[in-house]
Amino acid sequence: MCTTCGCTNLKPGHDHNDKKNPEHARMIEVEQNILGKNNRFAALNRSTFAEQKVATFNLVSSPGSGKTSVLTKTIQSLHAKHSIAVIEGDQQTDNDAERIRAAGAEAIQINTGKGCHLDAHGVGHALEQLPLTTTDLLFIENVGNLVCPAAFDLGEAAKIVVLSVTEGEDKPLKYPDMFKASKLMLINKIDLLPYVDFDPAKTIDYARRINPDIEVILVSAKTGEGFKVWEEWLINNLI
Amino acid sequence: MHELSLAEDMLEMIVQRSQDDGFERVTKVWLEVGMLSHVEADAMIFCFDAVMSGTLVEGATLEILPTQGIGECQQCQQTTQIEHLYDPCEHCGEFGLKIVQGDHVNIKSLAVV
Repeated sequence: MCTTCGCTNLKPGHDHNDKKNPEHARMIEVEQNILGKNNRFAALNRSTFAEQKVATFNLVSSPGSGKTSVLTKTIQSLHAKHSIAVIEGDQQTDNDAERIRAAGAEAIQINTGKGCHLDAHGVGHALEQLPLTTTDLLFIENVGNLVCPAAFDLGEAAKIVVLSVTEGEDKPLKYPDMFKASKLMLINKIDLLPYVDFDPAKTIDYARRINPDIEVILVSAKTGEGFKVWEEWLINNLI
Repeated sequence: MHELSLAEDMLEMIVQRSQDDGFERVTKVWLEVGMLSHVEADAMIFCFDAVMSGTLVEGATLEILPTQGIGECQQCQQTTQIEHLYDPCEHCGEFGLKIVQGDHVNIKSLAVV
C-alpha cells in the first residue's frame, strides 16, 4: 500500500508529484463528525429554550406506543397551570397536531415526507411559529421509529422513550441506542398488563443494562394510572 | 434510513471544504464509523453513491474505517472492548459501561484533485 495516500495502486508511475501527474489526488485531513451540522442547529435550539425558559422534551418510541394519547391526557390536566406546546413529527398527515389542538394546546406539524426522523434544523423552523415566550413546556413528538431519532439531538433537555406493554419486554436490548439516549422511560398501556406477557421488571432491568441512570414511570394514558407521578416529574423539570 | 440524511450532510461538509481548500473533485473518502454508532456501514455505502451522484464526489470510493467500541466500567474503572451497548464489563460483570470509544462517525480524510 502506498504510505502517502493509502491507495493500492503501486504500478510504475504512481507518485505524488502533481506536476507529473495532475490527476493524482492529494490528501486532506478532515476529522469532522458527520452529525456536526445537526448538532450546531441543536445547540441553537437549546440556547433558545434556555433564553425563553421552555422545558423541552423529545418523545421517542415505535409507532403506536401511545405518545399522542399520553400528551393529550397530560395537556388536559396540566395546561391550565403550565402552558404547553407540541411539535408533531410524522411522515404524513396532521392528524396528531389536530388531536393536540383539540386537547387545547398549540401544535405545529412537521411532515418529514420520506424522512425517518426529525432534525434540529426542521425543529428550529417550527419554533419560529410557536409562542415560546408564553410556553412553559414543549414536547417534540418524534416520528414513530425506535432507531433513527436516537442519533439526532434536537436541542431538548431530555429524550423520553415511550414503550407500551404490547411491544415486548426485550425492546431495550433490540433497540439499545434509543434507551441509551433517553433520560426517562415511560411504560405505557399498563391497563393491558393482565392480558399480555410483559414483565415490567425485566424491561427495566434490560434498559438499565444499557443506561443505568434511566428513570422509569409506569402509566396508562387510558385510565390515568401513574399520571400523578409523570406530571410531578414534568413539573420538577420545568425551568 | 438516517444514513441518507447523514450522507447529505457529508456532501455539504465536503462542498464547504472544497471552497476552503480549492479542490474540484473528490476521489476517495475515509469515514471512521464507530461500531457502537448509529451508522450501518452497508447502508451508508448505498446512500453515499446515491447522494454523491452528479456532485464533485461522484464516483469517489467510500472506505469505512471501523472503530472498536470500548466501554469503561463505572464499578471497577477498567475498560472492555464491546460490540453492543448492553455488553457487561469483562472484568467484574457490571452492566452500564460508559462508552469511551466507538460511538462517533467522522470524515477522517479525503483524497482530492
